[in-house]
Amino acid sequence: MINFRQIFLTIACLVLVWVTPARAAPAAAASRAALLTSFCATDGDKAAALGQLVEVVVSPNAQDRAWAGRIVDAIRNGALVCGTGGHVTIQGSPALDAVSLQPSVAATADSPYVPSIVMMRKLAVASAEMDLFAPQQDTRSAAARQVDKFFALLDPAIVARAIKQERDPDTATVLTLALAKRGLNSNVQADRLAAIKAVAEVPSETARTALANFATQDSVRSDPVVLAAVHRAILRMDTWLSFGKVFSILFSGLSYAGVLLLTALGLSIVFGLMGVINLAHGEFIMIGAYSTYLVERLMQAHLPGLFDAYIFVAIPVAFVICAVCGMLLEFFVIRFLYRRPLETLLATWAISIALIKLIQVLFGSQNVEFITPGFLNGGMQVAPGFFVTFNRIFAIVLALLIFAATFALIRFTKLGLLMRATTQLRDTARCLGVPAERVDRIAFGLGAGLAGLAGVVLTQIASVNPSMGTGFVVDSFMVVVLGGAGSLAGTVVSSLALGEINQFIEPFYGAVAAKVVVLLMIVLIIQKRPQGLFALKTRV
Amino acid sequence: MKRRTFLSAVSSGLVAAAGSSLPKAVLAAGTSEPIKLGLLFSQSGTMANGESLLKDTALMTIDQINAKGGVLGRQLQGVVVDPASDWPMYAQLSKQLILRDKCAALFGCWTSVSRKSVLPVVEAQDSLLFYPLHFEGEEQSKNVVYLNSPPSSSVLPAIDYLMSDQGGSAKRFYMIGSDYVWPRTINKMLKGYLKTKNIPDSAWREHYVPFGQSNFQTIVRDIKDFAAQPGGQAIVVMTVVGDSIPAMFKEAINQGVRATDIPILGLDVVDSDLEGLDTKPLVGHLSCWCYFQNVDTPQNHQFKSDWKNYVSAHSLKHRPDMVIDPMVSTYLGINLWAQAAAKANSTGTDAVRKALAGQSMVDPAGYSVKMDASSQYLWRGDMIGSINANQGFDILWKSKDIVKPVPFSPFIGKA
Repeated sequence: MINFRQIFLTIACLVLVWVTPARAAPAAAASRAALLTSFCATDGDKAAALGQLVEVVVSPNAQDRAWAGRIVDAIRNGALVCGTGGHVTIQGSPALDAVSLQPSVAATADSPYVPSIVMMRKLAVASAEMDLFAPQQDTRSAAARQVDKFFALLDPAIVARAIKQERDPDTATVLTLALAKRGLNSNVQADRLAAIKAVAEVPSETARTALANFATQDSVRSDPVVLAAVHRAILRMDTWLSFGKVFSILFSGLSYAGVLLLTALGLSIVFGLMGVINLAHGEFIMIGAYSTYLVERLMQAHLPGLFDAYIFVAIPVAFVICAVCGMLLEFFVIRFLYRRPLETLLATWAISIALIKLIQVLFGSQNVEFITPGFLNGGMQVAPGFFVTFNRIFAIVLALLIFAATFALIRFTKLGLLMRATTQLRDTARCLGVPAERVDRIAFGLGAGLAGLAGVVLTQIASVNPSMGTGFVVDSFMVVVLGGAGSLAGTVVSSLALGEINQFIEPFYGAVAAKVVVLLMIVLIIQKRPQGLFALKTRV
Repeated sequence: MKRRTFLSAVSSGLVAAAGSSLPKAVLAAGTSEPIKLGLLFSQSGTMANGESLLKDTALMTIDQINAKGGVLGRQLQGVVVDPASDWPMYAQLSKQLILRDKCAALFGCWTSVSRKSVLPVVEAQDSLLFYPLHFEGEEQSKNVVYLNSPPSSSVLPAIDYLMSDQGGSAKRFYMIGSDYVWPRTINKMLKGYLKTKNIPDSAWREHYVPFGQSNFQTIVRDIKDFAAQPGGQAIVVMTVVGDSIPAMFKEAINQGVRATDIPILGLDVVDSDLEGLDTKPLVGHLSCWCYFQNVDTPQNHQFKSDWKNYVSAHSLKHRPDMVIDPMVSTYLGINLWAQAAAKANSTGTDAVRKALAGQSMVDPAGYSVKMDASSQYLWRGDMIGSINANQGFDILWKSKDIVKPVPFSPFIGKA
């Protein structure tokens, strides 16, 4: 009997505890509304309001935590809308009442709360601090990196709690480091030395900035032990960072070279091997880019599941479209103009303008919008001070693959043999039964198709509009002329040289100076070696 | 025979040109013919995108004024020409508009170089050009009406904001621009201004790229490098134009530069530049203009719905839901001209110019704008916009009232 009563009491107590949050709801609603009002009021103390929000985050009540998380997200996405009469809603379908998170009607004339930059920083930290307690390991480690990035703004109490709870050692290390950077401000010498040591372990730009700022403080200058430790740490970090700097210059030279190679490869066949001055080359690049655009749109409409793969689908599509355009151009225009370079030049220039206008009529002259496939977004930190972006790596890899394929085609296939034969000794080749006209057409188509491939890659790097090709055609001619007409190897070497030289000059003297120097260099080299760096040995 | 008719056509053209140098007030008086306004906006070439928007805005405004009965009891008529983004062509066509078509005033130009090319023509013919873009200042002609703000009343307040506590207390400045007069003048002025704020020379870095530059790898890396130096928060003041704007933003996104790390103040960025971009990673970067389309005033809702209706009624290719500052400026210019002509009871240049001083109206941004009596610059409100996730701008800050335009910056000499 007594036992039964005890059990009943226990259950009653549990129920009471469980019910309490629900009963407290009206009070919570009032404080929630007050919090939200301070975000909306023009003179409200937004930073203090955010501080309160973050406190809610670590509160034991799961409902409140979820609510605070939702509000911070809404503010960051610009979805918190301040209505007339203090009615705050979260935009979306359906719109939610910001206090109760129940569906609500949002008035149309409301204006969103626009956070200032300082608030955005605080919001980023607040949201990361919330994520530190997320169940998913990935979310937590991303949040830890974010907290580390804004170490000056972190809340030590919350981060310390997160470290205590963290099971993944790497994430805990990142958080400890963030705390250490903040801990530089401690007054105890031992703490400071430990913090310096911890920060120096992981070189990065932000860490160097933190240390350099630290070294200028009066309290540090007066303490020779700490000062020496800071200088040692900075020196060590500088070594690492300068390595990173050299690598990143090399990398951007390489990626610029990749773009040059891609755009020049087609031209090196058309101009180098066939001797046709094709000023419409840039427009084939542009058509390749617009083909990609069509593929992207179609995939988005019909195959949203495979959307990210559109860039790979676009490769054959753009190649075929451009190759067909190229062959048509050859059939209707170029073949009547072989060995008449001046007329070819004028005719292809006219075609280039006509194509630009045609695309302008069809698509309009504004830039077209591309949604970058997920795997090409962003980049990664390879080493301190050395950051590579995925779209550039993609361009480099694709350029190399396309070059290898082209090289193999010219070198090792029968078609390649016929092409080389036709270009080197046209009449003899014809006497031996080579169908020179057909070979010309295919070679021209190949050149145009390669330009189309360049267009596919450029959609991820440059802006796409009808006149995008005009800039590239000049660069392409530069590469081909410098490399030596007709030599694929020359094209590679000259694009690599131009890319690297350009990117080595640019950080010191600017992009304009880099262009000037590169062009002057080309003039000088062409004077000494009119046939280019790699001259093709022909008997003509 | 053909040649003779051609010659006679030319000579009659010359006679007509000579006749038109009569005072315009005489020609304007007492007829019920429409009053002609010259619209000098390119519809082809690189500027076609922006300028054709302004041309259609001008035609819409003219329709609106005509619907209310026109000016001085006469209808207005817009005379459209296409200078094809070719700067000397602006001068030639402006001459044609003034002499052959006898336009009462000209509205047009986007780039500073086209304005400079029209300037000698309107001065020689004593006509009026209403110029709707914000620009580098340092110019004042009695024949040009400047409808948008000079840098001292738009760029400097934005810099002040970014240097304030609320704006993130910027201490260091990276200036990146296209290589021509507007960015160079703006940056020169900015450096002079920073000097008065006791910012040391080591706290800024300046870089220019050629027109149409699309490779911003090195620049963005340099920006990150600059921002990592000690000395305080760094910001980017971006004055690149045209295609370079999306290219620069793309690279910033890829290299992970967010507004929370290094805010970018893009002085020439309008909504249409963001069209091709995923703006989620760009949220928080800034721009400053006298008008952003998200401003919540009844005048703006009216203007936006008028534009939407106009675009669909004339089946134009423009986006019906996008309005940018230069369009509003064009709209203001034509209305102010109409008010001044009505007040002067004449369309003559001198009379309109006199009546123009002190004219005011409520603009779509909600300010009561006012024409400066001495400088022919318009007093307007100033706003800072913050890029949002929907390829537009949210209004982060706006001036309490209209700001006095200062055509000649006192900071340029200090740099």
